[in-house]
Amino acid sequence: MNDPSTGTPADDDGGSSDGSGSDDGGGRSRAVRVLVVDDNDLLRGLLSRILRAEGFTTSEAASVEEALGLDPGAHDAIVVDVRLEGRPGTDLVAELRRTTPALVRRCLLLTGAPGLDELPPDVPMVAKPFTADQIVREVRRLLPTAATERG
Amino acid sequence: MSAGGAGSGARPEELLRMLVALQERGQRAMATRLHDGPMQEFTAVLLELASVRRQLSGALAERVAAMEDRLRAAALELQLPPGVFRLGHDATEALIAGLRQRVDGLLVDRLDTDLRLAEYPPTDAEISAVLGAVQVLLLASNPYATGERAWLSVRSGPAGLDLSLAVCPSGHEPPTDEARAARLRPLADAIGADLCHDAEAARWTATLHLARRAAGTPTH
Repeated sequence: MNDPSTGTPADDDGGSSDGSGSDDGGGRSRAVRVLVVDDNDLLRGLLSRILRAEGFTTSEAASVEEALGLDPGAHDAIVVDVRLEGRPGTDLVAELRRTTPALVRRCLLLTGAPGLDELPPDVPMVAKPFTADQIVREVRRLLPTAATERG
Repeated sequence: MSAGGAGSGARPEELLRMLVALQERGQRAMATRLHDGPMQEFTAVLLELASVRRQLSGALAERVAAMEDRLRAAALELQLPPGVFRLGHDATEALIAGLRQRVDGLLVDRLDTDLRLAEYPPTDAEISAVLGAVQVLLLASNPYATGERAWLSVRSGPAGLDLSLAVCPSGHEPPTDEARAARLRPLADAIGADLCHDAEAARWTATLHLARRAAGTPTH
């Protein structure tokens, strides 16, 4: 997990694969950055590992506060568990909506209780349990939006 | 008889509403436990399997992929259905969901319904009272098993809701069921329902009027 005070992305231990690169604005390709927000250490680590194996660069946060300290705007996708210790993951979406509305389109919510959690209707959701392929597919779906926003 | 009696004590429909609220709370607690425990574990195992699969190739990788799919499908079967009053449900949808989850197949073998709620949509509290009344009446009718067929009619008007529940026991039961009547009658009295018991056919019908507090105006 990152030190939230530095916001340094976790090391990339995976190889690059198709669709994992992103234009940094200067015509140079860089790895897609994904922010993973989950208070379950095991799941957060596994999610990061899966995404890094796809060639993404990941940052990790265990809470809404930690995520906000990691500059969400510097990430192409933000994967957020809904039920976090303390503030729910939907609070992060609400905070982004208030400060930088365009970032909401980069969010993907994870929930183990679909139908019970109050979720924003404009944010995609993946229900637990999910497969690695599912989560990678959903993260990739977010990317064209992020790439378009960066122009 | 009306369930809208005067007095300072809890009205019967309030008790019925609380019964359903208790069921909803229990379901929510179970869903939370599932999320915080098994669903997290299932997700972790699925992600671990994917990590292993990516180090394999050919038939072995395909077998692990098939295991992932089967495990996920099995885990999804454990998910609880959304609560009756889930977000986005209107009154009719909530009542239908409640009857499907807690009546049809659980308290009776078959339930046919005629729900007319659209013109004067009931509140969640009124739906809870209807659902609670149906459940307790059917449970009193047969506390041990299903094996009955029921017809439920609910109509919402400006003055409140009118419920009619008719039940026909299965053929193997004795036609005269005094024990059934003895269970049903005091319960019907307690919730303010009128009970008509056809001893010969062992069929009974309960009717109940749930008065709306602000009669004359639709509840939205």
